[in-house]
Formats: sequence, structure tokens, C-alpha cells
Amino acid sequence: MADPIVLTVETAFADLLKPAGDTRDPGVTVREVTASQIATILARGAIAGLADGPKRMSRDGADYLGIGPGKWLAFGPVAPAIAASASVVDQSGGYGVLEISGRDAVATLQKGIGIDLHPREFAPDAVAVTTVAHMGVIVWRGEGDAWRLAVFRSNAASFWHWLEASAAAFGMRVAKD
Amino acid sequence: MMRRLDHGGAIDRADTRRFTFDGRAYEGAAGDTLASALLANGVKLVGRSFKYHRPRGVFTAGPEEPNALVELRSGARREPNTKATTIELYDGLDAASQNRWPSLEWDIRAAHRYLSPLLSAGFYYKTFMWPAAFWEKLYEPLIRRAAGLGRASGEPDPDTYETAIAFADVLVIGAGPAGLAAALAAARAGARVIICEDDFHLGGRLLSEPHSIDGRDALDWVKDAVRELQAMPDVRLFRRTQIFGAYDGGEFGALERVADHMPVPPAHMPRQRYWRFVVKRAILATGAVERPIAFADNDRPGIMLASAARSYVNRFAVRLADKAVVFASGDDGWASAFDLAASGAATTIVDPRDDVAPELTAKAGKLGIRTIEGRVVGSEGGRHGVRAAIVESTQGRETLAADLIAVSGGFNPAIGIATHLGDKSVWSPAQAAFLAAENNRVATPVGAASGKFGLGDALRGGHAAGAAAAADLGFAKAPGERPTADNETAKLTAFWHVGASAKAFVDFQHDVTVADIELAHREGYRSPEHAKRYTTLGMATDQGKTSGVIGHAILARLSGQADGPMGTPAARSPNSPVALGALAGPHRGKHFRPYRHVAGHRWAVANNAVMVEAGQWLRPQYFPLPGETDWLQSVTREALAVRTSVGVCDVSTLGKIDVQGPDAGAFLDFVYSNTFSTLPAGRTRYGLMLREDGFVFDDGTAARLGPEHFIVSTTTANAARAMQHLEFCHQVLRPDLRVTLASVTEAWSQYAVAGPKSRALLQKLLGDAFDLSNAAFPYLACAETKLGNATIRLFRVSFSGELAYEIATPAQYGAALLDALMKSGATPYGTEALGVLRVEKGHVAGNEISGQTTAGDLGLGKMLSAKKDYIGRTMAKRPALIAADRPTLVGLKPVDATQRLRAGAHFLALGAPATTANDEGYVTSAIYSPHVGSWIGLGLLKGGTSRIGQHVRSYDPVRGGDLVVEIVSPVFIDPAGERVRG
Repeated sequence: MADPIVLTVETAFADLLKPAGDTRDPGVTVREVTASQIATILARGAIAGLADGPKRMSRDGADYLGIGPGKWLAFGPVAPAIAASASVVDQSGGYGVLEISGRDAVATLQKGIGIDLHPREFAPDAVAVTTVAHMGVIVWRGEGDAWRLAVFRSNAASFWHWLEASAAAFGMRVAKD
Repeated sequence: MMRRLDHGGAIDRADTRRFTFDGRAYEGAAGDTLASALLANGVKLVGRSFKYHRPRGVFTAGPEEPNALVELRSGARREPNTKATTIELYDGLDAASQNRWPSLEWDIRAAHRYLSPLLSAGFYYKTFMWPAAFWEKLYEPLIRRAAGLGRASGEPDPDTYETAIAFADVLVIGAGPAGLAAALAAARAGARVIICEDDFHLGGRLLSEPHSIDGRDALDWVKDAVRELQAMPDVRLFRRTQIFGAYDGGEFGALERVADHMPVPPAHMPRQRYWRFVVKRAILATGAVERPIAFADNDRPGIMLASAARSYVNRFAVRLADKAVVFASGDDGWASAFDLAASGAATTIVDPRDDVAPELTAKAGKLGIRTIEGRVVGSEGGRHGVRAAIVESTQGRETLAADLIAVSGGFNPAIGIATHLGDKSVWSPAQAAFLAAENNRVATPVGAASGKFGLGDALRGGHAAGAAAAADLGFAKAPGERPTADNETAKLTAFWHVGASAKAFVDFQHDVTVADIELAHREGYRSPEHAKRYTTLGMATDQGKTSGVIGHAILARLSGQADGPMGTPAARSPNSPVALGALAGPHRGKHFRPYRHVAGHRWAVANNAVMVEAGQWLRPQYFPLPGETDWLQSVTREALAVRTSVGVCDVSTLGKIDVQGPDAGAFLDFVYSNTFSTLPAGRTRYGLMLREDGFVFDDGTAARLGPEHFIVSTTTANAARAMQHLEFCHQVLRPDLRVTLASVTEAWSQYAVAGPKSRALLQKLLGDAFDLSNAAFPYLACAETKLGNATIRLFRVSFSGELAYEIATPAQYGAALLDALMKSGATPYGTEALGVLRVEKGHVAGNEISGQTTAGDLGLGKMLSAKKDYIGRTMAKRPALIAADRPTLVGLKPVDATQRLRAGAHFLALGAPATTANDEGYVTSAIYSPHVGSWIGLGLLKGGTSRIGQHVRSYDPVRGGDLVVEIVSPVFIDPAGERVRG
């Protein structure tokens, strides 16, 4: 009997992450968030504890991003109570997730994101489904000055080209997950 | 002699900047423009005019410059039509004049001036009408060569560009006194402010005119204002940034010249940045552009706008002349004359007005300036510039020696941007200027842009507009103290031109004269728009910023309108030329648009795949092996491998939609023409979707993984559209159905494993955990199981007509699964072989599902259920959609097997002439079939299946194809379908 096969995981940005520009005093730090579980939650009726709207909510160890009416993107294990009144569709491999931080993070992002990221307009728990350089992207805020962006896996290379071109002027370093 | 003054000006004499113009070396200073540095070096002649190649000099000190256009830089960075008046001088700058040959001083095409009777208004339309054939071959190349606006480098741009977006409550356009006052007031009140200045120095006209604000030097006030603005976190101050357009929704386009003032941008710095400013309120503080007065030979080098002369004297510390004549019909020209006199020029003021304020004449007298109530009617001079002004007054005609004639006919408020959304401008006789009409939707004009030319009014208006904008948006903090200054005297009598000489130029850039405008008027082109087209007045890079209004005033006078111009064409964006590179940003070459990679992309590239674009996707087209010299060789090998052994094709790009819920089956019954609710779990079915209009929309399989769980697959091309369609059907048409939809195209990698040895390959990979035998997993079965650590889904479906499976896994395992499959010895095949296999099997694809075909046309009429309702059902029954003579799907085989069939060829009955009336359909798909041993195809033929066995002509006039084909069944291989079930 042959050894049981093991399929290795390859994250969306695995072979793309590299520093850009002058990194002696980088204005931007990028890290690939290798979230193991991502799922679309589609309500089959009201879901206790999840409200409609472009907001991030944390429930029992998972983050839920409101991405449409009755629709969330869940990061982490979906609570059984939520799964009971929703269709839960695995998307773990469908997205690449980057965390972008540093003093020039916003200046970098505003080279592609057409919505206002000023703290007056983009609250700490806000979520936006928008585009970067003609690619769909989901944007929300992480800890401190960090921003998180989820892009479709297939767009990772094009997205990286945009990010690299946009962050190089500030210098961008890669942090390990 | 023109030279640099010993003191004064906003230049740094210690910071010298070396540069060359037409190969000659010069020195300037930091703070110079190319124009000011040339003038400081005594260079008067900088260009040749567009049509007559007349010698021209610097005419303005800003972006309105019509004459001093140069080619900046050399090699791949050469940039034509750059305005010397806006180029910030840098060390090593290299510029050349344009539109001259062999040199600027000796320009052979200056002979064009003797052709001027032929080149008058409308010559373009009159001269080259006949013979028509000469246009492309002779006239156009001739004109293009002669009428030059510089040459592009023709090489790829070595620099980078980028785009960015900024948001604010208030945008202030222009950082002169009004703009700075507005920005301060709005920002102090708490608004987020963007203030944007085209120039590299802030202060606007305060840089060029000596003034006091709040009782101290105005430039000190500017410094403090800038310091205060820069200290506020929610203020962004842009220099070297021009707002070029206003768009709907409070959006403005701006171009920031990030590195244009450097020889080469430093690493990672873009040359230019295209900004989109999205703001709630805008304030237009763009100032005003002086307009000249037209007189004979008014275009010689050494004749310039009076305000420009003042800029060169005060801001750039250039002594422009020994003897200056200022021809002005307003008080501002006098102010320029005073500054010229102070710079050491023996100055004469010529003013046609009889009511000049005594204070002005008294001051002129004190400065030793001669004043003449009269007009300049002409100039004398040579190639190197003006030598004298010819003046007429009540005392008669006299010739005044002059190496500078400064002209001032009033000011045009720079309101171009305010008309970008279609709002009107109105002529104000009081200001002798076009002003933005009340309640302009784009911006609130302030200062000179609003026709208030006094400095005190500019500060008052700017402060009030800034405070009002902030208050209007709910910012409650105090806007701070209003800066104050006196209003200078600014009386003006509008005065447009002297006489109607054919050498009295109105539009310098396009060589349009007073006589041209009169000619246009005589020939019926009387509205400003018509006259613009006919004479080219106001066209090209300066867009008539100095000339337009004069031309329109002349038209008005000719039409008997005494009050000034009837109207002026609305300005359109861009206000100033914008390089396409800046709009493209980093999206150049293969990054022109985003592309999509499958998880197995790297494997494909590593295995020598030739990639093909399928929408945004890059898919392997074929995999050439060493020694294969022709794509067909590789494709044939790949197709044969599938027919005889086993091949693997990446089909991850096909759309995948997860459909769940108690009514999932009912929903699919509604969107597919055939029935899915009866499909047992663990089974897959081929389905057809129609559009509302009854034509076929898309096809694919749907697999029922569980009682309430289906996976719908769509074609690659229609993946997004199908998802939208299903969302629409659910949300709008059948919200009653309890079903959820999610696209999972990105989440799963999927591979077709096809060929007689596919089962063996997969079984080996799966081991004992899953039984792939025909009994356990028959044709059209589906299942979800595990492969090692990963979830997989198996579908026994076949596009090739062979025993085949599709295996899917979450995309994070996609690369690893592909690797495992390929290590098992399969042949990779690409989209070409996929096409060969499906044509041999008679399966339709995008070529046949063209949006113009019905299910019946494609031989799929049996898939239209009669037992249920579905999208497109009623419309599919329209008479024309079920007409008997519709072209239907057939197979095609050349009668001469050596001949090549091509898709796109049309069918004609044998012997019928090749006319549209005889057209019987066309070849939709053509491939070389290794199975048949010749080219074969699919096509849509009138009468279709009833004509099997007949011969028709396949006629391809575009590529010279003309052959006889036999009509056969579209299924070339295994018509009984034994292989797929084997």
C-alpha cells in the first residue's frame, strides 16, 4: 500500500511576495494572511447575531464581513447556530488575503481604491466591496494601522503587480505570517 | 540687452542650472522656467509658427503660452509641444525648438509666408478638395510634414506613471491670494481641504507683482499661509499639479508633474501622477489670463503680454529691454509699465483711452515714462525680434525704437473648468470678460477668476467662499481672521485690435489673423463655434487661452454687436494636454488589464505551455514538446493521447455556481430548459439555459451533490454573466424560491481526466478509498470524497467523447493535485486539443452558442421540456425561431481530404454564384481531426440534417478558401456513445 497522498497547500500570493523599492525605511509592510477557513454565508432567513450592512462582526472566534444583503464572508470556523440558518459555502482557496500596514499604507491603497479610507469615512469596523485596478476586492481594517484586502485567487498576480508598482515609491517589506 | 537683474526675484542665483537649447549651452538659476532662463540669456527667438513658420518669441509666462513650444529632453524621453513657460529649469535640461528646418534661425519653410493668400481661413477645406485621390497620398503627408507641432520619440516611454485618488470636503483650485485665503478659511473651520497649484511656486500673481497683505510683504503672508496649511493634518497641498477637468459627482481630474523637473525620475518615482479628486465643494481660484491687442506684425519676438513682462521682471529678475513700449487699454498695463521702468527700461505707455486716471499719469511722469494717448499700429524688426513700434495718435504717426512691446488688452478669467459640466459663461460688459454664470455647478469662482481683479477683493472673496463651503458642510469652527489688502486700480476699456491687417495675429499658435476672422465671417461662419472650426481659432495645445475672446469680439463687431462677444465655445476637458501615459498609469503592456491565473498556472508555464487569453483568463493552448515545430503537430499529439491513452486538461476556468436550498431543484427547473428536480443525488446532467428571448444562452452540467445541493457549471466565457443571470432570476423573478447562490469558480480547481486509461490513472491515485468501477461510479455519476488530506469532487462527465472524469479540489490544493495527476503519466492537453476532441464528438461550444442559435438549431430541441415553465420557453416558440429553413447544426468533411476547411467560410449550393442571396449558412468550427484523418468542421446550414450526404461549396473569400464539402452527421466519433459509458 502506497503512502497516503498529501496535497500541499499553496496560498494565492505564495510565489509573489517580495519587497519593493528601497526597503531601508519601508513605508509599507505587507503580509499574506493565510486564513485556513473562509466561507460565504448566505442567509436562509434572519440570522441571530448577524446584521446586514458593510460591517465587520466578530462571533465566537470568527470574523463576519457584510458583503451584501444576507451575505457575509466568514473568516474562521462558522458557528453552528449561524450555519443552521444559512448556506455555508467554502471559499478557503478562492481568495488571497493581504494585510497592508505602515505609514504609507493608505497612500498606497488610494492609488487603486476609489473609496475614501479617511478615518472619518471608513470606520474601524467598516467593510467595503470595491475594486482595485479593475479587480474586485474586499477591504476592511485590521489591528492598528493595518488594512486587509481579499482578492480572488486568480487575480493575485495582477493585484501584486498593482501593489508592487504602487508601494515601491514608499518602500515595501514583506512580513511573515 | 536682455540680461539677468542683479537682485530680486524668486530665483536662487547661487543655485545655477546648466541647460542647452538647440545644442547651445546656457546657465539659469533655480526658480527659473526654461522661458525665463532663455530670456535672461538674451534668447528671443524660440519657435516658428505653425502655418507660416514666422519667427516667434516667448509671449506669456504661463500655461497659456502659444509660441514657445519645445521638444523637451532627447531620445525616448523626448516630449514635443512642451511649453517653455511652464518647464521648471533643472540642471542638464536639454530642449530643442520645433517646426523648423534646418535651424530655428534659417527655416526654409518660412517661405510659407509668401503662400499666405493660399493658406488663409478655410484653406484646409478649399485647397485640397480635388482630386480626391490626392488627399491621402499627397496633401495630407505634405501638410503633416509642414505644419508641425513637434515629433514624438517613437520609442517606448522609459518612465512610469501612476494614478491615485484623494477625497476632501473642499477643493481649492489655485494657490494665489484668493485660493490661499479660501483654503485657510475652510481648513480652519475643520474641513478636509485639497489645495492645488499648477505652478512650482505658491502665491500666484503675488510672485510677479509687488503687494502688501495685512500691512506686510505679500510673499511673507504667502509663506505663513503655506506653513499653516501644511501643519494641518487634513489639508493636502499640491504643487506642480494642474486640474484639467471637472466631472460628474464632484470629481476632478488632475495631473501632478512629480518628476518633470528632474532630468530622470529617481528609482520608483513616477514621472507624473494622474489624480482623481473627489470633493464635496470646489473653489475656483485660477486667476485670469491677459489678452493682447492685435495689430500688424504683432507676433515678432520681443512682443509679449504686459503681465508676462511684469512676471519676467519681478519673479524671474530678467531685464527684458532697453526701450519698452507698453500698449495697454487698462490700468493693469500701467502697473506693468511701472515695473519695466523700474527694471531700467526707457518706457513709453501707449493707451487709446482718453480717461486715464491722473494718478497714473502722474506716477508715470515721476518714473520718467512717456505717455501717448494713441495706439500701436504696427511693428518693425527682423528675424531676431522687434526693433520699433509704430504708434498713431492725434499727433500723427511716429516710430518708437523698442526692443520690447508689452501688450495689455484686459483679462480673461480662467473659468474653463467651470464650464466642463455644460454650465454657461456670460459676457460681463463691466469687467469686459466672460464670467461663470451664477450658481455654477462645478465650483465657486473667487478672485480674478470671478472677475474681481483687485487684491483686496480676491482675499475677501476667497476667505468668504472657503468659510461658506465649510459652514455649508457643517463645519462649525471659526474660519479665522480675513486677510486684507487694498484694491489696485483696475479700470479697463475693452480694446481688441487695430485695423484688419493680414499680419495682425489673433491666434499665434495657429496663425489666425484678424483678416482670417473677417474672411470667415464674410463666408458665413458667424457663430464662434463655426468660425473656430473654419479658421482653427482657439485650437491646439493652448486652446485659445489668449486668443479666443478677441476672435469672438471681432466676430461680434462684424455682426454689429457693440457690447462685446456674443458667446464663447464652452471649454472641454482636458484644460491642458495630458499624456496618455499618465492616464494609463501602471497598466501598460501585458498589464493593460488584469488577468486571471488558474492554480496550475505555474505548472503550465514550467511545462512550456503556450497560453491563450480566454476573457481575462490565461489558459494553456497547447504544450509543445522538444522537436515539435508546428502547433498542429502538438495539438494532434495531445488529441491522440486522449483518444488512445489519457490526457489531463485544466478546466478550472469554467464557471461553478453553488446552488443550495430546499427549492434548489425547482429553481434549476426554472432556469434550465430541461428538468433537474428529478435528478437523483449523486448524478450529473447536461443542461441548456435559454435567454428570455428564446435563444440559447449557455450550456453545461449540473451535479446534484445532495438533495438540496447542486453545482452548476457554465462555460468560461459566460461564467460571470450566468451568475448575474441566476441572481436576477432568483431576486427578481422567483424570490419565492428558497435557494441560495454562490459563485465558487475561484474556490475550486478542476481537471478533466480523459481517455481510455483515465479510470486506471484516477483509481491508482484514489487507492481503495473510492471505487471508480463502472458499476459503482457510472457515466454521469458525481461524488464528494477525500484524496489524502484534501476534499475532492468527482464528476463522470465527458466533453471529449472518451471515458472521462473531472476531478475538483479546493484551489489551495489545485497545484498539488495537478502535479499528482501529471506524475501519474498523463499527457497535458490545452484548449486547442479540447476543441479538436469536442468537434470530433459534435459537441457545441461558444462558436455555435453564438447568441443567434436556438436549441433546435443546435440539434438540442429535445432538451426543451414540455412539462414545465422555464426562462425563454414562450419566446422560443416564435415563428421565426422554429422556422423550418433555419440553419441547423451539421458536420462537414472536405470531399478532397487534403483540403483545409476554415471556420467562417459560407455555404453555397454547388454552382450558385457567391451572392448574399445564395448564402446558406457558415462553418462555425473547423479543426484537423486525427481520428478522421482530414480537416472536419461543424456548421449551421439551411435545411441541416435533411441534407446529410449532399455536397455544398464552402466559400471563404477573405482567405481565398473555396472547396466542396460533404454534409455529414456532426458526431464523427462513437455515435452510439459507448466510449463514455465504457
